Amino acid sequence: MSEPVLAVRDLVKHFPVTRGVVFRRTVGQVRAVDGVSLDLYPGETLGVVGESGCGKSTLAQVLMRLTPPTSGTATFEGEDLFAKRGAALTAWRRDMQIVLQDPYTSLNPRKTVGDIVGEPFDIHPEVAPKSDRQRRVQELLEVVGLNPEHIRRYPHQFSGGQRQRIGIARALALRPKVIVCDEPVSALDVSIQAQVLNLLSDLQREFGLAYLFIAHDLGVVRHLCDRVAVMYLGSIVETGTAEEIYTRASHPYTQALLSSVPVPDPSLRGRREAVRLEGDVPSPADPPSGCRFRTRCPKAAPVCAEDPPALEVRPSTDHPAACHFAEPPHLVRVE
Amino acid sequence: MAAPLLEVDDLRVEFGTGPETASVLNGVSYHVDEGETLAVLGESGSGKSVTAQTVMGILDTPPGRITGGAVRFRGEELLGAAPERRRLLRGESMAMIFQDALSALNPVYTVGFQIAEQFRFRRGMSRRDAMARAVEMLDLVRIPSAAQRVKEYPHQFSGGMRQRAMIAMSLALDPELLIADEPTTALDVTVQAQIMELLDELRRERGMGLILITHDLGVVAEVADRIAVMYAGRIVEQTDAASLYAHPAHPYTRGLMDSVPRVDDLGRGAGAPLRPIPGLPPSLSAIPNGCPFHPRCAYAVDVCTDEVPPLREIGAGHRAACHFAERFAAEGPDRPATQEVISR
Ligand SMILES: Nc1ncnc2c1ncn2[C@@H]1O[C@H](COP(=O)(O)OP(=O)(O)O)[C@@H](O)[C@H]1O
Ligand SMILES: Nc1ncnc2c1ncn2[C@@H]1O[C@H](COP(=O)(O)OP(=O)(O)O)[C@@H](O)[C@H]1O
Ligand code: SF4
Ligand code: SF4
Ligand SMILES: [Mg+2]
Ligand SMILES: [Mg+2]
Repeated sequence: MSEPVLAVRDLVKHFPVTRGVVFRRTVGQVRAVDGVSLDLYPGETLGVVGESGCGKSTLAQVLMRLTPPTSGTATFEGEDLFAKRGAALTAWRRDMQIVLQDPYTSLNPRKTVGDIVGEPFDIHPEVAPKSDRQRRVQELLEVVGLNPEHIRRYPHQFSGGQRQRIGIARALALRPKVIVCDEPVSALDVSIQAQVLNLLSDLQREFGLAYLFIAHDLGVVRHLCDRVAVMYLGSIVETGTAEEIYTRASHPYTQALLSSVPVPDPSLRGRREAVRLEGDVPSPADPPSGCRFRTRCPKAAPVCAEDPPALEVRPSTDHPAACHFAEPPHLVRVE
Repeated sequence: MAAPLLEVDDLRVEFGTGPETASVLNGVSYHVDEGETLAVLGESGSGKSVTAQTVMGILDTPPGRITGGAVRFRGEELLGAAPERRRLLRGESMAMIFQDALSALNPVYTVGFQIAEQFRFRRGMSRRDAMARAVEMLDLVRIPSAAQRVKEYPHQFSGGMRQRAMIAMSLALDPELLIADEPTTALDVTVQAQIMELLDELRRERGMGLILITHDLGVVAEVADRIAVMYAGRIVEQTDAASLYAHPAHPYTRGLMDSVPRVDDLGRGAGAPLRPIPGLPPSLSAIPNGCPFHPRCAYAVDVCTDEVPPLREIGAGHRAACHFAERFAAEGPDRPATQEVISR
């Protein structure tokens, strides 16, 4: 197997909780990301799923070097990501790009599409000489399925799906190796979402991109991802291939998530197991002791409040899960 | 036969004037009976909320303009009714909940006060009795420690709890019809499942009619008795849930189904391309001639650009607005027959 392009170990990002205006005191920590390890291999898609507030965007922001980590390491092609400075940092930025969820706020409304998509070339003039700029931008627009003639239009003249394509074109401009996609299709209607998902697949094949694909929609993740990491309250609770996660989920949280997703097939009504979780996710400023999921876990036992379960493969499972009692679900085939 | 609980008949609504006029509803017809769940399914901008607002009598006019059609509650025509009559029906007979519970609740009053208010002003109850009823209502929507939570403010509630509180408020005066406009769109999937289950139980216990507005084909499949699919201000298909998924008759319905990446389905092969609907919904100030869906339809032929397909009966209780609906319904969907589900 090849080396991971991105390798993350024990990554932690805490935000201080402060009180007072004149004398600001730190009274606690929001443990947004609390010990995440993952590997992303060239050309693959690794999905990161979890409910809102579990730390997905914070993970993306730290890996993009938009905010410093509290602790932990990350390497990009073997080099220390967080140690990069100056020219090395600028050079690395070519290789790793991000696409954000909101196609309405992530594009500058006063710039033309040509300026937005061509902006990376201003920072990296070595990639495209000025004389070649317009042709390159038009090529990018064509690649993402937009009309190259629309280079002088403004973002508001495009629909949500088209704006997301503009964001993707901008991310592609410098021919990166990795694109972090933070909920790239969550704001789109289903028919438009499908267009953008197909585009992402096509681009991956054409340019050999690796995606770190963050989403809360488990259907989208199953469709697109080779491997999946499930997050809960700042940590990864289960990880495996898409097939392992979707057919043999062994962590009670993953099982509950999967059984909560409504399936568009009325003939399955009442035939799927419904694992209903009680209550809401606890605050990441004050996570439960031991296993963080124990306050909502239908299988919780006394040991769960004492020992935090390690993310590891257990005797009855074939992929890592952070649960003392991890076991695969019972599957039945229905006609 | 008795009149349906609610009947919307050929409803037409416009916004704006002159060449900018947006024809937002272009003849919407649906009905819902007592104890039944009608799902209104459609992508954003298709007119789901404007229809609901017109039914409730809360559409802003202007800018909106009702240009035709009827809304009948138990046979009583509402569009021409006096404002006092509409106000009385709101809350007592029909109520509505929204996607954004936080902005529907008043931030400066406790949740209990806001529920109790209805009992005080519309049932003439004492402050004390009204508050006791508010606690009962929070209990009804399964809010734990209702007696304590009733004294809290909306911002102290989580998203799921706020949606429960709004349901409690909407049911306070025991309406016969509840319109839920994307009630779980802003919620996480585990909380969404709790809220959908709650709504379904309350509907059953109270024999209430429920109109569930959503864009999620999964949610619809799990709870709807009947489904109305909307596109560009029209109902393009309407039938019971089982038939819609087994025999989708309108190419738009089929396109939606082929666009959804399913959590339970590697049948198409993991990563096999989805089959999206090409293009975009039309601008409502320039709806195409003929079938409004024709610029995006893979099956469009000459007649589709010339003649508007009416919403017509193609089988028992199955209506579709496509010239070739019978053919598509007979073909059935393109989907594997067996799959694995997680079960006990
Ligand atoms: N800049 C910040 N300051 C304080 N807390 C933050 C900040 N950014 C995120 N958080 C908190 O960190 C947690 C994780 O947030 P986020 O990474 O956005 O989650 P997700 O993307 O999974 O929804 C949340 O509780 C959020 O409120
Ligand atoms: N107050 C308003 N002024 C102008 N246009 C409106 C107004 N409310 C709704 N519309 C338009 O009506 C159309 C249908 O809206 P809506 O019923 O909210 O769609 P849906 O609920 O299906 O997403 C949209 O194109 C929207 O822009
Ligand atoms: S370790 Fe215990 S509380 Fe945590 S998921 Fe497993 S059974 Fe549940
Ligand atoms: S009437 Fe024609 S264009 Fe419209 S949905 Fe049917 S086949 Fe497609
Ligand atoms: Mg996020
Ligand atoms: Mg709406």
